[in-house]
Amino acid sequence: MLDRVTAPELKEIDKISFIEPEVRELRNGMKVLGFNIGSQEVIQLEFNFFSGAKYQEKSLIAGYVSKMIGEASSKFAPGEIMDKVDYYGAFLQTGADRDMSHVTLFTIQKQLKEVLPIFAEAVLNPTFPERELSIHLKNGKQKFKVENEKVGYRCRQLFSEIMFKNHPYGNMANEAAYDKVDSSMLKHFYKNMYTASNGLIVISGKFEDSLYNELDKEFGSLPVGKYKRTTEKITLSKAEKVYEEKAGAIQSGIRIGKILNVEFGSDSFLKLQMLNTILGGYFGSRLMSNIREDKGYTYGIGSAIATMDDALFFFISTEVGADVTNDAIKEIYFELERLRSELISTEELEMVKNYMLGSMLKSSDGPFSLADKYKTVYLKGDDLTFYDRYIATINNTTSEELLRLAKEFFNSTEMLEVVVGKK
Amino acid sequence: MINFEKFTLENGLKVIVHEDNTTPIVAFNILYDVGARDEDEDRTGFAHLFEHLMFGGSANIPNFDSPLQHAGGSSNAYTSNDVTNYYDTLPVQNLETAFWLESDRLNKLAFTDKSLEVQRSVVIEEFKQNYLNQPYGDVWLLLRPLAYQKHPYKWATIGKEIKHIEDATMEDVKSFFYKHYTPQNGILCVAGNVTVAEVKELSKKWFGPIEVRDQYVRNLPVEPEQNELRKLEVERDVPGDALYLAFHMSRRMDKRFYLADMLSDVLSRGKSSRFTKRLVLEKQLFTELDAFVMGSSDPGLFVVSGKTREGVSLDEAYAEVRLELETLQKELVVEYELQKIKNKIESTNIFEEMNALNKAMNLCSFELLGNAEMINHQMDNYINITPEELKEEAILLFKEENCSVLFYKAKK
Repeated sequence: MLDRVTAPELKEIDKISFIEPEVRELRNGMKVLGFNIGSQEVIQLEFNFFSGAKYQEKSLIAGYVSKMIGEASSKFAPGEIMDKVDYYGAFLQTGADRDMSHVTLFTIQKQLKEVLPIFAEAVLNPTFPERELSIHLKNGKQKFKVENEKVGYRCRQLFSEIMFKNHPYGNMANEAAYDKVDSSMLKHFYKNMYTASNGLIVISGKFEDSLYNELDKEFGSLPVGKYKRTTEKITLSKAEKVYEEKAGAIQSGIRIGKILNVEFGSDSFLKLQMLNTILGGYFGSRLMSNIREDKGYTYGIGSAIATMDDALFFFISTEVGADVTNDAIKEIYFELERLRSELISTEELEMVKNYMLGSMLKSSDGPFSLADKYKTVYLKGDDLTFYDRYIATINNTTSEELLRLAKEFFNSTEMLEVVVGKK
Repeated sequence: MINFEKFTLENGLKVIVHEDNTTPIVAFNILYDVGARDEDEDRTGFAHLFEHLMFGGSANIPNFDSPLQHAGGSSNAYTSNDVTNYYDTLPVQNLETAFWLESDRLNKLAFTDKSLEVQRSVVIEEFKQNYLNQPYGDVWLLLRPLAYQKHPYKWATIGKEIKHIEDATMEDVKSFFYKHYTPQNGILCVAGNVTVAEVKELSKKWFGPIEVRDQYVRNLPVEPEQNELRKLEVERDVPGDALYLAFHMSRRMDKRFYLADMLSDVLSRGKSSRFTKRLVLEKQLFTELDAFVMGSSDPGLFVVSGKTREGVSLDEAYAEVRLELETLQKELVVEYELQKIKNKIESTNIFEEMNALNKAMNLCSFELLGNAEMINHQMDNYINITPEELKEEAILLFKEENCSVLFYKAKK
């Protein structure tokens, strides 16, 4: 008879391999990190610039600069670039977050030769045509209105607005902002920010060594410019309770969190990652187990640590039934307090360790992911030893240390609480 | 090219093995041939609710996720109108844990009242979050019953209404389990750095002893041909108007599927597509406009969905969409445009092959549709499509009497 009760024996993850890139430089000094790995004939070519929303003088500029790249260029009329990119089966992805922007090309290897000059033209010579910009702005405004009706979205906006008051991170676009952007602002921002000194190229996938020369040929003419990145750490958190009622809401969005005054990659930072995982970082987390799997208040709840250039912050977020909003908030604080008052059992700690190592193994799978893993730490001024330290921390941290850490960082009275919906 | 081997256990469970030695992670995907279309009309949302219950513990293992997390893995699942699909990813050396867990829940669920009560609430919250508490969330609850009058595709996977989920009983749960969760209704795929021999042994050990259960014979009502344009107009508290069109199209396995799929690409794949170029950017009638097909087991829908610009009436928007569809009925797609779409389909296929879990899911889906080998011949179905064939398909597909239109209006 088969024994279905006893779990099969587990084997530890003994090794997670990360890859050092080949580092090159274009003639304009722009740095290139190359990860020539993988078995599929695909390539990701990513241009990163320190040109996120925190550097913009007016709302929406950084986002619309990245959005408009690929729209038109000196050589190509509106629509022509996208038509050609589509024709070669490639994908152009752009975006801006609060610290950085990126312009990324995904292509299969055999089309690279054709698509690279088009991509270069898009990145080097964008024209930001007024007519297309105004269409995108009007459409963007409409989408914003839709998003703003969602309690989750509104809650996130409000949380940032309050937490980062008087800092660019807290400048959230409103409807009116969409009427105040024009082409000359985008051109100005692009010219200052999208430069060789202010950016970083990351290539990953399977490519010929000659690609480095091709890159130099195509992108070596990007102006040198200046390094614009600044970091000024916000250390003070706001502790308030804010409630915004939304008529007719049948769920409430909840966001609770605080700024963590720690350095990226430090011992406390790594241990806080563990504490966060235990609280709300995976399916078996305490918040999920209690608020979803025991009480059924929500479809999902989680927590995370955001690592931005000027702030590290921790937050819990969820959407819960309007009728159980207060109960859910109570349970969230209950779980925060429990982390500060009880030792984590050996069993739970063991599970979290194994889960975290497994998920690290998973997130370092494949050329694009490996490149991303490296980039994440590289941009913070760290190197691959970060992951050695991280793995060692996961393996060696004790419940006593986590309890101490929770007492220091997860004080309920220090949290900003934002609720949008109905209580 | 994706290499794989296939075998069937004595109890009918089909097993596919794909060896991929480039990854330290193994994907374990198991698909059951049961979806929302197999539900009773007065007990909808059940296949999906059941999917939640599959995580609530089995006869010998009180909690599904804890042991998997102990093994460094994670899991999830989804339910569609056709299938319920469960997947686990974990470090390859712990593959047996997935076999142990997945076979125990197919063998026998725990059926605890607590699990039913909690998951009932969770699913109700899911219903609210995705379908009720956000703008345009209820579109599918409106469009499906408009397009389908007989076939069970007329309700969404989440269910027709919250009440059906509230009313589910333990008895319903049990009978659903024994009716649909049988080895012969399952297709398993293991993809990763494994050998066929190893997977064969583990499959026999863990799934082999599970008994064959009665074969459920699917006998669904056939949707009658639609003979007149259907139109529904609703008013909601949303920021702007939206337009939806649904045309009846072929089932996934029909040759016509690929034609319809390609037509949807001509209209809206990529930023250089006709919809984006002409109706969003040139005429500025829509803020966004998409066309997509449902690759469903039974005859599906070709859907056009768009949000109109402020000041544009839905009548005008509808007329302009019709104009684009009629252009496809009258004029041949030019060679350049066709080649563009073929290139895009080819590269998308290559990108999809980068991930073991993706491959495992696709292998199971194709096996259910007929044969896993189809995964390696998808491009063949598109490569020889001609402009004439597309035109003929457009004439059939875009007949006005084959269409259901939803005018989703913003309350003034």
